Amino acid sequence: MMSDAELNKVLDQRYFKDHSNDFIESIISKAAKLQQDKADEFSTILRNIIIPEPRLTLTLCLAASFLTGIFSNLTLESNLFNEISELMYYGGELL
Amino acid sequence: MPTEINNSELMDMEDDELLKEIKLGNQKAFAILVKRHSSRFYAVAFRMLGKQTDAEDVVQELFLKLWSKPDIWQEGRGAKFSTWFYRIITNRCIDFQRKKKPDQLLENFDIADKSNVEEDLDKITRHKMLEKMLLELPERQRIAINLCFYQGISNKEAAEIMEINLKALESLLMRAKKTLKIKAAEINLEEVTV
Repeated sequence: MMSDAELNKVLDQRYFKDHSNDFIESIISKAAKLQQDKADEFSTILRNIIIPEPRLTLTLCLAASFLTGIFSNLTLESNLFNEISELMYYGGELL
Repeated sequence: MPTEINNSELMDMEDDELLKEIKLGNQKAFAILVKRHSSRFYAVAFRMLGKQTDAEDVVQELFLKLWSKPDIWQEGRGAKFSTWFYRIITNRCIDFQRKKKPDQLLENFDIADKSNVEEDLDKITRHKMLEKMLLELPERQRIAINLCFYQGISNKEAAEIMEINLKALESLLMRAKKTLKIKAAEINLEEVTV
């Protein structure tokens, strides 16, 4: 049987292939691209929130005014149902 | 107002400090960490997978994961960054190997690739025989050999990477060497290597 030294010699001769020349730079550049993609994605989300479509803006405004109406009616303890139906009526007219 | 850290300061930083910068999105810190360690990490992956492209893919995938989710590295858990990263590379390579059949694994070792076409056939045969012997070792023994033999990793660090104690690692190495000696004698590997 082989000695330890002989076995070590066999193992030392094990085949090895170095990494490609652009391996390290490729990791770094892919990380930079990932960061850029993340930044782009974030700005797209932000843009969609700030400048949504006109119809969506109008709907959101109506929903906001509707909710404000309910809130003020509740605090004033007036006739809630009348006020809601009035808001819905004007909302529908606007749409 | 935070002061920007220059390249020379980053170069002098320990891994832990670089990782803090990476958590803040510092690309230069990431680049320095990659340049500092990627060759050694690649070597471990290559020893386990035997194919340049696969080894590069594994190391790249894990570095990019660290960049996208730097919180996966948690300082103060006891292990050094390099020990921890060697561990995740080893685990990723094991997953990769388990998905392949033993025959496919041996073929995976790109010993006779295009750059080696003119290589002496005996040398190629010898490499293949050695890889076959190593592939036939139990998984833990193979990992122990890969870590301790080629990367200049101390037995203590190899034990930490494998999350076992030093005695257990030494026992794995001893058993692996014993098996390898028997197999080498069976196929007369020592004769081919001289």
